[in-house]
Amino acid sequence: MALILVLIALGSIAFHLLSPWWWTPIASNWGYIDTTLIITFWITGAVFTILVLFVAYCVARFRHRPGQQAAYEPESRRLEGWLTAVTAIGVAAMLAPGLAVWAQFVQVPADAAEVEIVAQQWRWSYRLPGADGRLGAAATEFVSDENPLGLAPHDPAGKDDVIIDGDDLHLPLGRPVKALLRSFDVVHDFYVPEFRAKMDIIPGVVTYFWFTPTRTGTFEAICNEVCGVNHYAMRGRVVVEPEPQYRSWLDQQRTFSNFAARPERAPRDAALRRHVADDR
Amino acid sequence: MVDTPIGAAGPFPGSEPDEAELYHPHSWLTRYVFSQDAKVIAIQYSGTALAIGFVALILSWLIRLQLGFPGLFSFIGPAEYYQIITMHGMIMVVYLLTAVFLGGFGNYLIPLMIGARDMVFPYVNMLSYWIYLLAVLVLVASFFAPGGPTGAGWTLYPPQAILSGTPGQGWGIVLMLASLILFIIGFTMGGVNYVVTVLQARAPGMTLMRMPLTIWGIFTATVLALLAFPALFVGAVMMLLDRLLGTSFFMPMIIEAGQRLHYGGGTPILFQHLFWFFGHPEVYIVALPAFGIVSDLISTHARKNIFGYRMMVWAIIAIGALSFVVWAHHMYVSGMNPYFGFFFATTTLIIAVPTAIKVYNWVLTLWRGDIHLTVPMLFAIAFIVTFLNGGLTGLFLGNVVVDVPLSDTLFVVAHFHMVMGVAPILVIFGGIYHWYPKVTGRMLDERLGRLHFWVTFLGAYLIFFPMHYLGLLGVPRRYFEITGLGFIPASAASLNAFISVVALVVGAAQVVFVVNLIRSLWHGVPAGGNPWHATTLEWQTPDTPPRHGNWGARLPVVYRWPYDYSVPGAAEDFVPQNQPSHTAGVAP
Amino acid sequence: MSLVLLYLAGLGAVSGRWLARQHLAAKPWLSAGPSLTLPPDGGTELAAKLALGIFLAVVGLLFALLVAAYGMRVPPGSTGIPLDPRLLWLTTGFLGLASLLLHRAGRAARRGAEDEAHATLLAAVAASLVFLGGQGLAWRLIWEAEAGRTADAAGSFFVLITLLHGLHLAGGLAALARIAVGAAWTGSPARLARSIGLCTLYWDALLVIWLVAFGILFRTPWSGLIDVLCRPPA
Repeated sequence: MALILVLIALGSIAFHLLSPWWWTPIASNWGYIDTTLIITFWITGAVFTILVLFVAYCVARFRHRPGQQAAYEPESRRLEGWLTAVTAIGVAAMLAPGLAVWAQFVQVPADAAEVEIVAQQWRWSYRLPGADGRLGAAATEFVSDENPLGLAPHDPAGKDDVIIDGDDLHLPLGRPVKALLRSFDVVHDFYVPEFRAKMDIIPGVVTYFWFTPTRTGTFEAICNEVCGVNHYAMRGRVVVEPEPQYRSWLDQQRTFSNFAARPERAPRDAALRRHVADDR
Repeated sequence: MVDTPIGAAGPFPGSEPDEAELYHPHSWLTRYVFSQDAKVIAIQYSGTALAIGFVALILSWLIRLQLGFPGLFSFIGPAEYYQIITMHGMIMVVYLLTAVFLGGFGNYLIPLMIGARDMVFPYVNMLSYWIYLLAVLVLVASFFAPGGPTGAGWTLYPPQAILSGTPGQGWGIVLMLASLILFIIGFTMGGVNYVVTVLQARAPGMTLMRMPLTIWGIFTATVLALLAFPALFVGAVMMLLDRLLGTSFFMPMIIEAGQRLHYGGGTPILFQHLFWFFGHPEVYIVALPAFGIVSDLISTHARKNIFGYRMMVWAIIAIGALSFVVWAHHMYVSGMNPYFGFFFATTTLIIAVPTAIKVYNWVLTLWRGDIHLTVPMLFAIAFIVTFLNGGLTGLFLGNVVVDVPLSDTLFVVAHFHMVMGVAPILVIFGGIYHWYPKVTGRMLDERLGRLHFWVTFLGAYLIFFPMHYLGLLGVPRRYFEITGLGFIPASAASLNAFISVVALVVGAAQVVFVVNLIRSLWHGVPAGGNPWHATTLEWQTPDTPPRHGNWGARLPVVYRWPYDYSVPGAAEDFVPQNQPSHTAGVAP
Repeated sequence: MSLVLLYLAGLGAVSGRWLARQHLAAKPWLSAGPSLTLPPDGGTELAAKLALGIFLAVVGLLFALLVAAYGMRVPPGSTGIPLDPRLLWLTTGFLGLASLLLHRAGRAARRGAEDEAHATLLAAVAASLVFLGGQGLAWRLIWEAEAGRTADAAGSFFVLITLLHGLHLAGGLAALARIAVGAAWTGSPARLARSIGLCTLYWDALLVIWLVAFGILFRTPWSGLIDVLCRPPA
């Protein structure tokens, strides 16, 4: 038993150090999250190793032999006091950086550009502000085939909003982004592992999170809150590129006003999509 | 030590219940089926829970087959996969773990360990079991209902749970909610009973601070459950009305498949609050009895008093109280007011302190002990390792920013399986190996027990420890398949396949356990009354297995705390709780 | 949820006070011997009372959760429920009457006036039935007015709360009926008084719960107080 416990402790450490499975290279400003995680790994790893090795020692050293008698020691206030204090310090060492980073997480920078991410079973759409730099009002009740994101028809701020339906989202490198999240049906969650940040998308309310892309590339986005039978297939892509490329991409996209005018869009039959999974 | 004279141990006034009020079975049917004896009810509860638990085990195999070898098993499609994971989770958390610890261990051990003849309300106790059985049957019925069981995930988040994009939206979810409501009604009957029994029916001399930690754990967990289940009840009833009557408690305006539904105005987050107000205490409903039982196992088999008994009791109470103010740590990324994160992260990490104290005290009990590596002891030590591992990863998830990337990934799955799956189940096994001799009068087979232990413990660790790293990588939970995601390297698939193979082996090892359970009924070594030389009252009954009424003519009188092991100067290395003097033999 | 936490804090205070008297700081390994305090000896009567008390604490929590859910779900400017509150004032009166009658029946049973106790008991059953009938009528009116499914959910909460409250009262009535019949058979006044005492406690609790629910669903003199307690902080 003792030997196996030692093997477990050492094996776990070896696995931690040697295994090829580790987080994806970060592509946003949330390096602090990784730092907090590393601190937590160090503290918890130390506690785990020490305690398991101690148990192994006890099992080996105090295993029953004929004539052996256990010590009689109901409690030791001093020892317990020390252990409590040390634990409290360890916990504080993890909590303090955690809360500090969380304070940044909830505080969106004033210059963050708004981007709307719209979820529905089982696809992503996006909306970017137009020339006026503002997103127009939107609500579930306005959704129709001509108005897939439910923009308020009479809000002038929404006329020039860029709508991306069924294509990748592009973001400029190095600029803070405030992602506004909306859903028309169930709870979803927009997650790009390389960005670390994410948030659930609740129908009926607008949730948000913010991040700054720090690395160019194409990143996969997944839905990370179970949302029905095709949850696993609800994927999207985010392209981070330098400002000039981003600009030229943005100029090619359609705005809400010319989107609504386009007549030849096939009616989206969501019920059909639902059967994708069953046909597999 | 203050020893009062033995002669003072006369009959205590009022210590004998009215003979007329004791229940006496009159026929085979009332003795073994509609029994009001807590011991029979305990076996019924455990048997039913283990039976439905085997269904959950088979479901977990199916999950692993799909994840390890995607596409190989054509009968598991996405809809079936979601139904399987939902039922696996729900059965394990509610119908197995809660029922075994409180209905099984609680019913068997509470009266025996506190020196009572039975539960205070035996008839209500019996009803509690039959309503539980009904709840299980309704749950099983949903497998055969048109459309199959619900596939909403065990958290049943609306609106998804009752919309047509989720499998089992017709009958499945309705039966699931009805079954939960029944379970809660049945449990409340049992729970009130356990609490009153502990408060009212303790043997003379059994003060609260002389109760074994098993009873402290079960008692506190029962109180938690009584206060936590109403939230699930409210949530379930409201969702049932949303589904059947078309109310909009949780349902906002919804466009589903291009059609606007008649719902409007509801708040899905409200359900999440109700669910986790139940869901977090539920973790401790499972954990606290396990804490208690494992304390007694370690103390008995290390022949040493539990280190820091008072701290252990206080920690149980503190954990129980704190568990009601941490629920929203399951909702850091749910879109609730993000400022709540500060409060809930702090409370969550504070709860780590009393929990850590418990771990230290178990370990310190081993130190300078006289450790007998019996099968129950092996399971207890394995519990320490797995619980420690799962508890420490809880510090990742409780710390709000660290949770952001990890939530809803396999890291979470690995964490809660380790901490409230593997660890408590190891305690259940340890408890069964420990108390089986009392229940049946025969020992479980030692060799089969060791085989069962090593495969289960090492296998479970091999399954869930590497799984954390897949979560770190960003592999999401509740994914039917993870193919086609660029950030997941191909090696993750081989790790998944490895995990699946181990899971199949661990599952198969449980057959060894069942064979052992059944075989030992006839072929086990006769155990005698107190095979482990334990101090607590259940080992001091006049008969083994205890007869109805437990104690023969006279209730036991308690003279000491339950951990008098290896007392200096004592004749033996244990002094039973009902023994007046530590040097003399058992009282006349 | 602040109401729920407040409620739990109340329960915590009660149990904390009780725990404080249990010598939790005693060192049990130092004090062997039987002379430590015996468990409270009250027999089945105390046990039944305790069980009912715990059950009511759980039921109270259930309704506290419903009230908290109401606070989180129904917008502050809700138009309310399209129902004449006078009907509910009437039913409230009957529930209060039932409670009063039970108190009287209990006193009569303790005096030994069995016939009077019995008659009062029956009157209490009747008053409770009238209450249930009135609630049922209100339920139907709401349902027929399609007010149980509005977007602000006030009507839905009315449907839900009256339903659960009515079911609890119906359960109590079943127990009360058993007591009334049982008393007629055995005729033990002391036992009757005990049973009535338990029912009285149950009815009083359900009356309080109903008053709270009534206060949140409709404008009553005490509504302001409940609003303060159950609205989430702005």
